[in-house]
Amino acid sequence: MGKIVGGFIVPHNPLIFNNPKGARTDESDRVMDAYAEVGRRIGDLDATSVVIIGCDHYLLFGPGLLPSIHIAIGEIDGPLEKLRGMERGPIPHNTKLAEHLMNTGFANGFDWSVSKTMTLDHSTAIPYHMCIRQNPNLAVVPIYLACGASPYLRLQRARELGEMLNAAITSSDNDERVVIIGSGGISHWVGEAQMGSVNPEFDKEILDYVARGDLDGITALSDDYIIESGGNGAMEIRTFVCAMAAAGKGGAEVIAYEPVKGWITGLGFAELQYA
Amino acid sequence: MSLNAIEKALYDIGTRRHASKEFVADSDLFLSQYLMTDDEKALLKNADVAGMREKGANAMLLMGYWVMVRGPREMGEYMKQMKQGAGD
Repeated sequence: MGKIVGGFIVPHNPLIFNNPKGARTDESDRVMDAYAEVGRRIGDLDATSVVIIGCDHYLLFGPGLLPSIHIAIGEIDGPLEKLRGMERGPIPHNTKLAEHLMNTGFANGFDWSVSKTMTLDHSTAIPYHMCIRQNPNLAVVPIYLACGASPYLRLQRARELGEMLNAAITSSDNDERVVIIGSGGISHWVGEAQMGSVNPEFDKEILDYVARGDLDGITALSDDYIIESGGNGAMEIRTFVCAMAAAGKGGAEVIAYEPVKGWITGLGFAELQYA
Repeated sequence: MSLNAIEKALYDIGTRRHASKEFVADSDLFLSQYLMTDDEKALLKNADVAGMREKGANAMLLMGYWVMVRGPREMGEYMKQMKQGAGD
């Protein structure tokens, strides 16, 4: 039987690579320590695969095709973007697990769009680079949610997708030990006039939902409220919702939180309780 | 108003190097591929990001377009335009 052995939320800020001096040294150190801590905890879980739930930034997908939910089942590489110190290259994949998730989704009303091969953007490639690649033999299954452009995936649907992932993993007939990662920033205004602002009160509100495992509360937030309080980038909390629901048990330990104006983002790290 | 066509042009310019080169080399010829009004084409030709944002264009697309056309070192000007457009 497959098993979920861990769950995390982490950010995926490209400025960590492309403008490392944008943050103060103490801020940067705490963020890097948090990534290292997540990587260390993943290393302790004896996992076989990691499902990374990321979000497009209107880069992978354009106005000609905007998937609500997307999964890559075959060979993957990344990152798509040029990030200093992060060369594009192959990333270990797990086609058997990915196809199981895909097919279980199809059987339960989740009509994914599917990539047979995919170059991952920074939302999934950065968690891999920072937390996973140092753990040998861990394979990645990337999932993307519509967080960057309207029409956005509804928060309730992100929850339902997470619940389906939990059922799919725990009912599989292989011995996969799976870690779930929800990858996203909290408050950030990407390309907007307010870019550079951070809203720690909103960030705390979101991390409190995560810590309490309060899926009812976080999914009740309106998109208008999220965008007004946390910016267009905060729509990425869909990945947190999906990961929380996939982890199954509810509740989390917040590992770190940094509101880094120089990196234009409120950055949160947490380990989800899982079942 | 052709917001979707504006976003298609922004996406193409912002994500495809050959498209951004064609746009910079001859913007009239490049934009003739898109179903937009002359006023909308002028917004792209003039890099009027605040004007496009006012029409509803996605801010991630606007930033990607700007970086490809003007370069990342000109983000200060981008922010100046966006703030003026927002009335800050």
